[in-house]
Amino acid sequence: MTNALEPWRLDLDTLIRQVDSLPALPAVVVELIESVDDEDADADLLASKISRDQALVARMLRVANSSFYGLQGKVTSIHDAIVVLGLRGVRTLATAAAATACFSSRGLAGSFDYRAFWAHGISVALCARAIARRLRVSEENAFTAGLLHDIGRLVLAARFPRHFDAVVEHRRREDCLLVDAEVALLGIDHARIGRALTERWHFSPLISAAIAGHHQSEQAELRSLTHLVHVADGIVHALALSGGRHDIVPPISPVSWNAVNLDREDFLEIFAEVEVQFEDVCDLLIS
Amino acid sequence: MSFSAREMALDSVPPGSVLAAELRDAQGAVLLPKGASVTEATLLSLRRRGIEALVVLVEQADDPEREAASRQEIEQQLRHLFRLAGDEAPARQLLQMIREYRGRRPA
Repeated sequence: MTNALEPWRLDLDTLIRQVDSLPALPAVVVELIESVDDEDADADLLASKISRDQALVARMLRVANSSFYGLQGKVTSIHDAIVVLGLRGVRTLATAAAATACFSSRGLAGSFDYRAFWAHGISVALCARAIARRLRVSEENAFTAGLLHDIGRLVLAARFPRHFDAVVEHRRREDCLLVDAEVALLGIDHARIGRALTERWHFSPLISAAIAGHHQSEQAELRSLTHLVHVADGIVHALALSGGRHDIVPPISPVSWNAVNLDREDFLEIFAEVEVQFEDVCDLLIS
Repeated sequence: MSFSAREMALDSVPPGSVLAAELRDAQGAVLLPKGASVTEATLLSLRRRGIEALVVLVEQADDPEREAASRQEIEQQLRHLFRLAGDEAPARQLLQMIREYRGRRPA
């Protein structure tokens, strides 16, 4: 059995080399990410820098004007976006727009469903944000971490398509979780790969840790964003939002569940909120 | 009489059903628009294309027998969905809340 699995092993060095060959985020996005805690960051300067990347601007305005932000048609420039959403909001928007643009939907593993992948990311982002609002922690960080929590899977599909297909086939045969199929075949999972990418992209350690730890959240600190993403992921699978009949709810860590500690009414509200918003947002980032 | 959207396995969709959402293939191309009604021929061609399920409008059950049947269907879907979630408290609580959310009136 071990021999049959051996050809699919991936070592960390090979992986990191591939991650390092992926496109970098636009410099202005990196700058935005780094300016997160800088209240004095010069909004006008950032706006003029973002405006030089027209593709990024187009994507950002499309999302800013969606029902998702409830500002239909009001945001016509990046400057407007900063006024309305604040620097933090624009940072999330730019990160989301740039990260989704780094991967084309072409040339990916045959069994990779690009649309379902981003649909899942978006629903976890919405759910994590809904939880963050109730816990009074950063909604922007929750959204970004939720959106990109499975980004390692996209790296796998883009750079190791045959490995990815083999993992999907193994999962189907064994009827196990995708993450368990990854560990069984590759010896490494998408959360670890995601961490490598967020490090290359200079994400804040907070978001990087949440992406790296969303399947082993019991090791995270009590107030960590990791718990939030872990629980949001479980909820979204339970709502079967993106996978339909193929969705599987993973085990949910009691540590994370207790760290999030919402009551029944909150959860029922969150389910409805996420389902409604999901419909509206889905097309925006992907198409 | 009211209608609600429900995902159904292709094999159990009755001909003449109306799509509650547009149908896309794995590449994102629209196969059928929202509101299209599916004939027997459509169902056959969707099966050939590897489509396994459709989101269709179903009549909200008004009589108790149908209500029980729809509750049973929800229950079946939820058990399938949660089959690998283990039996620790969080997964059980989440299942119970989703059940309540889906069924509105808990069984």
